[in-house]
Amino acid sequence: MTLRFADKLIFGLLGVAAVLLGLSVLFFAQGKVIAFYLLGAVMLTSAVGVVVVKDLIRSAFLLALSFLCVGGLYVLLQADFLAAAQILIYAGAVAILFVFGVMLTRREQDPQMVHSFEFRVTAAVFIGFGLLVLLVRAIFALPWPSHPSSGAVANTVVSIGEHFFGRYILPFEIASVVLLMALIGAIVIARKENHRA
Amino acid sequence: MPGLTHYLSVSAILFFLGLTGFLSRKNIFIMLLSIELMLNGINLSFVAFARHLNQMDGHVFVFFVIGVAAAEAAISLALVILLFKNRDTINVDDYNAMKG
Repeated sequence: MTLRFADKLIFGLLGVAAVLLGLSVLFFAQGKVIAFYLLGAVMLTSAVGVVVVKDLIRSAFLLALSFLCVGGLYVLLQADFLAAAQILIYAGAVAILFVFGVMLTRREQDPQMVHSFEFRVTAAVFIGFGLLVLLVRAIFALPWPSHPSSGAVANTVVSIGEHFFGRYILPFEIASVVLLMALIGAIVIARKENHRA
Repeated sequence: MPGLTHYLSVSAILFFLGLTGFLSRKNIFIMLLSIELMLNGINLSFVAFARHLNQMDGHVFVFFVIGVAAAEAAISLALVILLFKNRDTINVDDYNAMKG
């Protein structure tokens, strides 16, 4: 299988971004700032790719890349356990689940939807961009409470566990029931119906 | 140091990218991927607030969101596979059996 030019470009840019990320975190004093902008740029670019790209498999893998960059931003926000969970669950499980779904529903030649610039797309872009401008203006206008003594939490795992088994014990148990119901429901929905007509 | 507003802006952009994708595409897979993008934008803002306020409740909420998103992904993919078996398409405009 030969790679398209766009794929080669993406791989090259990703390699450059990864090298820059490692160098900046290791050697520069302002490494966190550079890492934030690099991760944010890669994340938003791949999210645009998810929405724009026609090929479903490429879209799913771009989604996985976007999830990985969100995990990197979690590391920058000192949420180490959450970053590990993000990479395990989102980039590892959910994105690969979507890849399997795409493979199971793919036909011989997928009709590429070529009606790109119709009313729906322009309306969606206007709605999204308008609401985004509104929200970003609100974010920068609001006086956020400043907590200057935002020191590092020593061990996030212990703190999260204390919250789960203390104040949030009931939602925690309900979440387990929800997951069990989803497990059984997915099997029941997607199973072959050959036991009775 | 990028502060709270930077992270909130990034998460807002991610959320509205997902919203735009959900509204504009007809492919049901892309719509599901856009929902995941929106959920990630929300999670990022939760973690940014948790870091800013130095409270761990935001992390707990992100775990709940991740759990619900995983359940939603499993159920929705099962539904899509069933729909594809019955209707032989993944274009949402063709799912018009209940159209009056």
